[in-house]
Amino acid sequence: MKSHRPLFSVTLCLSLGILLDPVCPLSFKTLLTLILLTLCASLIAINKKSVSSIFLLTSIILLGLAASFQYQYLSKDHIDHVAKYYRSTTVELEGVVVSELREQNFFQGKKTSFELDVKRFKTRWGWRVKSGKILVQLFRQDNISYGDDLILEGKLHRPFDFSDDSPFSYRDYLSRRQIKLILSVKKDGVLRRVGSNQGHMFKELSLRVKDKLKSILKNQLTPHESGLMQAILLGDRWDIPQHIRELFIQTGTAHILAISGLHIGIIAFLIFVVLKMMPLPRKARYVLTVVFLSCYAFLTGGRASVIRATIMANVFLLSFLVERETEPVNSLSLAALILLMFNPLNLFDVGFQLSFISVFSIIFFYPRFFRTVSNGRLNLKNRWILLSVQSLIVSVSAWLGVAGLIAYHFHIITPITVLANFLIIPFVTLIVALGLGLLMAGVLLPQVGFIFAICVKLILNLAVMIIYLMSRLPGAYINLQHVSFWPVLLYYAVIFLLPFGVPFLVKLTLRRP
Amino acid sequence: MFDLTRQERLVLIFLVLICLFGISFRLALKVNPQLNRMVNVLEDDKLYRPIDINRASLEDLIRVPGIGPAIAERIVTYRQDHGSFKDLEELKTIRGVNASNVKMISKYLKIDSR
Repeated sequence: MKSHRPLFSVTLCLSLGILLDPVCPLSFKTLLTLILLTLCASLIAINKKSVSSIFLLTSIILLGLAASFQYQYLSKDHIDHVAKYYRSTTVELEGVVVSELREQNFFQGKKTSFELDVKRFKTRWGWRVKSGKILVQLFRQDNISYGDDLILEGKLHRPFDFSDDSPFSYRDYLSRRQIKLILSVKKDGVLRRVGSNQGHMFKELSLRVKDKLKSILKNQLTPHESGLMQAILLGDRWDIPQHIRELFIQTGTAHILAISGLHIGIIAFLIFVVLKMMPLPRKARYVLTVVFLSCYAFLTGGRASVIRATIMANVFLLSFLVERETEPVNSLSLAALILLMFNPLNLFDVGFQLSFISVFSIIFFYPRFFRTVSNGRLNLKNRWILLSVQSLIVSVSAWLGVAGLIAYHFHIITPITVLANFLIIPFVTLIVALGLGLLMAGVLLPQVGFIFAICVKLILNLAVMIIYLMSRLPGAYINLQHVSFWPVLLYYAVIFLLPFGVPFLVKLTLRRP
Repeated sequence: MFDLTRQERLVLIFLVLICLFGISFRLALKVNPQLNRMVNVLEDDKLYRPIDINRASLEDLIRVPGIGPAIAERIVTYRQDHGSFKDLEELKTIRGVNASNVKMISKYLKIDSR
């Protein structure tokens, strides 16, 4: 049966609209008019499939443009409009802490970073109501928490870009999160708390739960082990040492450090197994799994890869409730649509791109490769051989999808990826399962937490050793000088069109006399 | 891939309209922050319709949120004994009214200078 994927075309059109925003000269009013006109045209021609679809998809492209324009538009009272007049002076402002605090070592002291939702700004003519989010860098430790209303004094400046050679733009990264400015507060800078509990109740609860879980990991594991486990289980990658992070990048296993489909799949499976042991009706088990997964996604900060994986898992679970088959590309498209409507600039985020391209290429290549392999001489009746072959094919499929983007963004190619992932994935499964056990034991029965902690230590260190050895193999990774956009586009055109082109060429060759 | 049924197209047209309305409204709020106040009628101080504390009857005062029969009577007695209120802060001198009460009930009260 031919698959029907309406959401795929909608997502492509919306993405195209967002991509065109930087080069689009149309005003918002013009866009609005064009969208309404195309929608009307689509409605008028509703009985003519092709014509109606063309107008509708055009309106979705224009909607993407409009959404991107609206997202980036700064309101009249945005702090960015006044900041330029106070560049070289110390400013005073008031705002609410709207993110968790990140503490890191900075030379001989500490640096605390957090996002602040500005409420007021002190100008030469007094306090003025302002809006907008800024990043605060406080060069000391302080007793601040999410939801605190603070008055701060410091210097406002634009985010720096690390270097011209670096493919990563910190300024663009912050801009995608609607942060245009950084406030640097000196060690002895003014910071006064004038209120608290002004954040969202659920976010505050999730941050408290996360802090508790982090403390369990820090108590039971060494700092580096805890840093890795925080990334794998809670989505916080701040405490991973740079040299360890490099090992994962060099072996193409960095995706393990981000909560994604693999983690969500393992967690969903574990939740479902636990619920199965309880006297609950089948449908209730599915609903509860969906609820727990959603809570987990919220707890881990809602990154693109987590949201994508959670939406796909939830669609899959809910399909059992409504007794309908799922279409993976549709589910993937739905996840992309939700993320893009929330923040159109997610399209330019590396994590978003890698997350979606990897899953899409698995969906695209896996059936084709599996068909080729199963038509060969390999005995797939043996369970372990089948499992190994499937695992290898998934790794190859994912690697084909991400290779181009990784070369473009990180200037590295990792031929060792397939082998490294084939070896590491079973370890990751165990690490996630034992890590969850450690967290649950830490909450419910701290006395038995050490059992899980020892197992996690052993397996985690063994996994890192394997990654280290993989990275030392000749040709494991190749650093590139510079990769421009067009070769990457060509690469993707070739790999995704080749499966269609090859049968066509074969037919063409066979037809010739 | 671009094959959409009639029903899907109708649903998508509806969803695109909803999205468009949401995006346009959000942009309008950014362009003109005053619009926020116009839209948030429920937060508008005008809804409180303050009454003149010096002219309000006992029944009017009882209906003010935060003022019960006892405090309303005390307010009327205060007016009889001390004359008109010059400032709403004088309410703090009435038994049963403290600083936080005054803040709350002063939204519903005014002193008409006429």
